[in-house]
Amino acid sequence: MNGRPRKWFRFRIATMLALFLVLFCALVFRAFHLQIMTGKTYKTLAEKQHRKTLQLYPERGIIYDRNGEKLAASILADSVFADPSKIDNADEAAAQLAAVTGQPRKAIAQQISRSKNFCWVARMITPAQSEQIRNLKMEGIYLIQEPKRFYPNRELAGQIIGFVGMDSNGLEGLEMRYDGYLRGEPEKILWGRDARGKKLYMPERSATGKKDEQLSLVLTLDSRIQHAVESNLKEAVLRTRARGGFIIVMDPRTGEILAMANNPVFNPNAYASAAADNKRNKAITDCFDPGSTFKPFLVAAAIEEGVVKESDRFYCENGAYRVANATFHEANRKRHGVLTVREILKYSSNIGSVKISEKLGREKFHGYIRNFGFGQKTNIELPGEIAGLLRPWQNWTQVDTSTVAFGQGVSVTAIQLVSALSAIANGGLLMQPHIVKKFVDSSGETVREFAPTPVRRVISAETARRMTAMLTNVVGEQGGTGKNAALVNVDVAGKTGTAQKFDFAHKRFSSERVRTSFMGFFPSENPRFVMLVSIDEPQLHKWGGEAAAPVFRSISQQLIRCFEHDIGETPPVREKEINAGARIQLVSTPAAIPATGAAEEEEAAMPDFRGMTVRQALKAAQDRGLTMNVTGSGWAVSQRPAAGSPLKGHRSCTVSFSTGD
Amino acid sequence: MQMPARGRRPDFILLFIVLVLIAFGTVMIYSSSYMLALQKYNDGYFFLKKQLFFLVIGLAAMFALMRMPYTWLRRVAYAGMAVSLVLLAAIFIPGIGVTKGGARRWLNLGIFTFQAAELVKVAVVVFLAHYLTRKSAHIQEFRKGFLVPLAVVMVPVAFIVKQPDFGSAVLIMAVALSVLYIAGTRVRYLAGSVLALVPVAVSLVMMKGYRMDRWNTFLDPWKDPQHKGFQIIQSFLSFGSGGPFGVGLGDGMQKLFYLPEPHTDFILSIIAEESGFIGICAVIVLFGLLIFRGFVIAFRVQDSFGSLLASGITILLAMEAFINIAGVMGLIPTKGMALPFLSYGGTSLIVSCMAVGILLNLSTHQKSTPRGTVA
Repeated sequence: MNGRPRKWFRFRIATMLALFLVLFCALVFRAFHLQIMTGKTYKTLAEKQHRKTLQLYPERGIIYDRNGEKLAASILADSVFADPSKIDNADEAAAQLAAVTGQPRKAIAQQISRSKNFCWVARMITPAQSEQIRNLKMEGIYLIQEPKRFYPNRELAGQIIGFVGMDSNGLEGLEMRYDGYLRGEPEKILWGRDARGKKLYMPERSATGKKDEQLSLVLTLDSRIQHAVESNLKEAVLRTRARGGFIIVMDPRTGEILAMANNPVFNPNAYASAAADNKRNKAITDCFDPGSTFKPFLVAAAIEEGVVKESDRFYCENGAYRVANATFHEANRKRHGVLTVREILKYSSNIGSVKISEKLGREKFHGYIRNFGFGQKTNIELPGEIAGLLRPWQNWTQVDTSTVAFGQGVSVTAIQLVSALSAIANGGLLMQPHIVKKFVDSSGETVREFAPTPVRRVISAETARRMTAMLTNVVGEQGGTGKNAALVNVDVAGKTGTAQKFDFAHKRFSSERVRTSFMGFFPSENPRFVMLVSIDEPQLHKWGGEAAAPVFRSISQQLIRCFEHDIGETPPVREKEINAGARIQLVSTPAAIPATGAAEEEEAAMPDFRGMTVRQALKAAQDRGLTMNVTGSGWAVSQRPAAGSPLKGHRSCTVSFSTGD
Repeated sequence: MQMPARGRRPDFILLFIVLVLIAFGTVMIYSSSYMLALQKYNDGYFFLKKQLFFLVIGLAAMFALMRMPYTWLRRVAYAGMAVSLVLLAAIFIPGIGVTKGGARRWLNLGIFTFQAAELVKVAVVVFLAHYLTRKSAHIQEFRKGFLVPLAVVMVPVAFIVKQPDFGSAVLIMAVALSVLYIAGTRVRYLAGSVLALVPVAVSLVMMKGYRMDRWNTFLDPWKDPQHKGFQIIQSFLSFGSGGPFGVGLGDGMQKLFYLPEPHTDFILSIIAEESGFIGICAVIVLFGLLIFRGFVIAFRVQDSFGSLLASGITILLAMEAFINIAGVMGLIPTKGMALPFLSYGGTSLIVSCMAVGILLNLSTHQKSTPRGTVA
């Protein structure tokens, strides 16, 4: 083969060579595409399968009342989980588990057959159930201890504290509002794992915050007062056959909430079975027309503005007063002639109030209402607060101005009402209502303290003093509407109120469905307690003086008995007595430790040395009082006795190490 | 002027390239198979030891074939085909043939198994080189230059399809057609035969469900990422994890049971993860150089038999490398085919070494052609 054929032969070889060069260039480009251009995406996916992050939350912080009484704490409860890869017969296992946990057998079987290495079977079971499970000694079924939220006082302040879900996440109330603080920073543990789910090397504890950073809350609530309030409220609701009600007790000097009770009650230990409506803290999430309890704020504004004096007389039109196209009457069709301002409050005259508001003017009246804190959130540290309803004064008709004067046509929340009354009680200063006194860490050290915060001065101290005097008359004088709240030896200032509910069906205020309230404070000369008692739709004793005032008196008597001296001091919080180390412990029914899941070796079992360096393994052994025979060097690849076998008897072990390369 | 035909030194560049590939492959086989071997055989060095054993045999074969006068191959060319057929037939004898993963591809040789198709590949190349050289005068004829050689080749190919080893069958056909092209068969015959073989291949694919699955998986691996698409997706993840520089030799995660067959067909994915784009480029460039040297040898060898043999062997190695590399990168459907010199596998290593031995032998027979001049 020479000459021409040879030339063609070479040409053909050259074409083959060129073909392969093109193909191999394509390979390089493809590699570039896979590794450089889209590499990040694949890398993320790969890391997701290679790594397993375990988040270990520190034990949730405790919620204390102001005296260090625990309102919410955590206890350890057993949960059952399965490692389906170790279960041969899912149906049989499900049947056994169903018998103990009471869950449907089918659901369990489905769970088990659906998952690979880990699935929950039952969370936070009773000690008796966990004992039964332990006795079943089933392969692939394990018990793990999880912190469970526990509310030792049951429904006490239930709506305020709220509750946590299965995974210790706050879902309502303070538990939700301060979830981040109570929960603390999780300790993130990264495991490398192979495709069979086996842990590969010891976790690198990531540096996200130090351990036990969770905080406990100390509330301003006093569980003794709370208890007194709740039991009285319950009794009152039963007695008057009301739909419910709420009571707030506040320290007017500081704005601290001492008690806040809702009825019907809610037990956060059984949050799942409670009606959604009962979980709400209606004292801040619901608004209502305040009725006559609104009159003191009108009078305070008028006095502060100097448009009236206590002794100014107003003609009360003998019980029927026509404003524009509406005619106003007194409550219970009473008829009043000429009343002083003092008497207008004492007898709770609607027409007198309307006349005062006419003298004050709607713009100024509106300004004071806002300054007293109505129509805006108080920003108390509780979730779900609403602002209430206060229309701009420009939209008020003459009739509107008149109805607002006796508390209809304006909607307020209980917390707004109490705060506003506190401003009168404490000499004119609106205080920020607050319920969280401080954060403490796990050793009881105060981390952050919330000092009383004044919002603004609403009225002068002089006006406040004169208002207090008038309101004391409402309760103390013969014929006052608040006489049922009077106490022996202690002057009480207060005001009743019954607001008709707006009947949306008939588009008018209903005389059947009312909210009857009493708000007041004592002792008049140096007020320590401001209290609002509000009963929702009582069937008996519809008028504020009859339904709510006796409740106020009853609670006040108990308060006075308890606190004959100053209650402002807060006893220190008791030292935290929870063992910080006892977080998640694994108890396995069979001897073996599961290869996956939130597994930390049980103390009394042989630790899993595999993957440790010699030094780590020696330390791990030392921590458990084991002597270790080391063979080889590098990383531990095998051990005897096997990981997870009970320690009793064995006080030594042999671990083989091997270098990985 | 011509140098003496014999006595030139072998192509050391080629030898060096091959040794680098083998060394790298051995390291990677150790890295990728350690955990698997520990798990399966309780001995992390299990695959490494076996591979080193085969390597000794392979290198011995390489040097033997390098020393031996290559004209000897012409004498065994027909015998080689006969032996191939006997071996392929023997696979179907129970007790001698070994079935793995649903395919009868191996002969039981006592201490190890032998994948007959690997040897057949070289035998076909030797046969074609010899036959086409003899018929060089009639190369443009339809019968002698095309039909007869192709028909002979298709006999062992039929056996291989039956095993089944569709990938090797396609490879042998492609190599055979390429060798015919280089020998000078009319291109229109070759084009016609390709057109005729495509429907055959398509029907073979359609006949077997798993081949169809592989094709569909190739088109869209993410359709079933947990099962059918699992392997190729894991390969992509390996490539992506490696990035430009890799995670470091031995530090890859994908070999920990994520990527099936990390030490055999998918060893390049492990290389991609552990040594990155740099490592992949190195491997591809090494294969490119190997092919280039192979064709240079084919260029320079004096006689047609040597030229055809050198081209055929080069094409064989090039195609094997391309099919594997393109497969693990998702450019073509995955085929259970080893990457020469890098993948674990005794037969593949030994046969590849033998092929390189022949190439090195041929490189000693080239006439020295100064650059730019035509002989």
